[in-house]
Amino acid sequence: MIELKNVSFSYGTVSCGKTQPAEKTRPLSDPAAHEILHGLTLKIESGSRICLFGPSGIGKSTLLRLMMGLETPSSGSITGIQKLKKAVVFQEDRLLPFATVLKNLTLFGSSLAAHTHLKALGLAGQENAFPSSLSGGMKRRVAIARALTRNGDILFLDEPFTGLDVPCRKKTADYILSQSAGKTIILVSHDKTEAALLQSKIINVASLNT
Amino acid sequence: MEVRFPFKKQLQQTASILFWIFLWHVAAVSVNKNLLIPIPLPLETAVVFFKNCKNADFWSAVGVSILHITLGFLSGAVLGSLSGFFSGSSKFFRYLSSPLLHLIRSVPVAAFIILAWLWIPTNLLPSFISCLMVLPIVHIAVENGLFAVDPKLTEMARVMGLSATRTFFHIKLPAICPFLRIGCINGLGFAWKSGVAAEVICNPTGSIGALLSSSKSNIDYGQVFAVTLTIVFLSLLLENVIKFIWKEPKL
Repeated sequence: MIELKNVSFSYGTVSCGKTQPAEKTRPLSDPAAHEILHGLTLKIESGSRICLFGPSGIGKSTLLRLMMGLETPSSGSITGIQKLKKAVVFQEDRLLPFATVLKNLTLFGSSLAAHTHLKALGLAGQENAFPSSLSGGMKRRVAIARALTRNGDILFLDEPFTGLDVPCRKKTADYILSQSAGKTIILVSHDKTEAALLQSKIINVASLNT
Repeated sequence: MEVRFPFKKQLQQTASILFWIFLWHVAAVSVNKNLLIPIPLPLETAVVFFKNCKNADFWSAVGVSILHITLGFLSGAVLGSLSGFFSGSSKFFRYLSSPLLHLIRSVPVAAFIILAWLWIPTNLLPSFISCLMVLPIVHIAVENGLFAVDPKLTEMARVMGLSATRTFFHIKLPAICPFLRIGCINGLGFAWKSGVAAEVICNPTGSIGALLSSSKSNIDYGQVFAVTLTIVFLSLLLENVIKFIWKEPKL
């Protein structure tokens, strides 16, 4: 079980395009330090599917970054996640521009799995294409296929269906569900239909902040 | 409709070269009237150049200089890549190497040649000087390449459990390569200039620089110009060899 206890997080100054946790730059009492999350407590059962829901700027993606270990909480603790094999679909596709679609996937898993996921997501024949030659929707599906190829214990999905049309969203969500039986899925979205597509329990991030 | 000429680029380049040869010819004709030592005409230089091409000793000198400079260039590229990598990866190394690189870049090459000549054998000096000139260029190229690595990609690799070695080969190295390629092309030009300068000053036996130096001593300016022309050709040739072998990646 993943457990977040009294987790707080503040962004401090912005330098060279990188935000830094406030405690590294200025004291939290400083009014200029922007607190995103405050005293957040949450328990996530293994194998469950949850959707961190809320409007833009509420701290959904920050919470996801904290769980992925990309940020350190200003206070509080996150347990039960460190040793899990993680797979992620970020808000941006984050594909390697100098590698083919297939290479983008096989870096994180087997070639067989990569071919299977590409075919299932309608990308058969694109194995040797470079990301720059793909449409936005195709790149998104490659990013999803990459996360599935990783075959992690936990799947983080940050607005995964951006750029996909409605039928494609449904088909992709069904495929993610078919490949993630027994795995934990943490979805971030401001759209409840996405949560419904992935049959996940909606958790309003605003209500978690004390 | 736009009319496309075949070999347009080559025609433009040839026209540009012919323009400068014409200017050289005009300058030589007008200056030579008042000078004791004339500037050789382009045609005279070409005659000496082709005469050299039939001479085995000349080709041996070309071979020796190519060896000197290639050796210096390669060692400078390897050392520059390593130091650039460490500098791009560690602030400590960046601060440590910064004064040394600044020194190499600002001290005139002739001063380095004279200083290094005190300790380094004559035959190794051109390679050493070429290496020294290439090192900071490649160092900066690799360092900039590392700074250009997309942090979002390394972040993704970290979460998805990609090892440090695979992150280097699949994310960092492809980002460094275009910078390194440009660094090597620029560095090769500097390797030629500085390597030949070292040969001219310290005269290692049977090299192009030594030939240039002896032609100057013999007041054989036709030969000086012909040898200079050879150096330009060799520099261009090796630069194009690099460009041919190491093509710009198309994404």
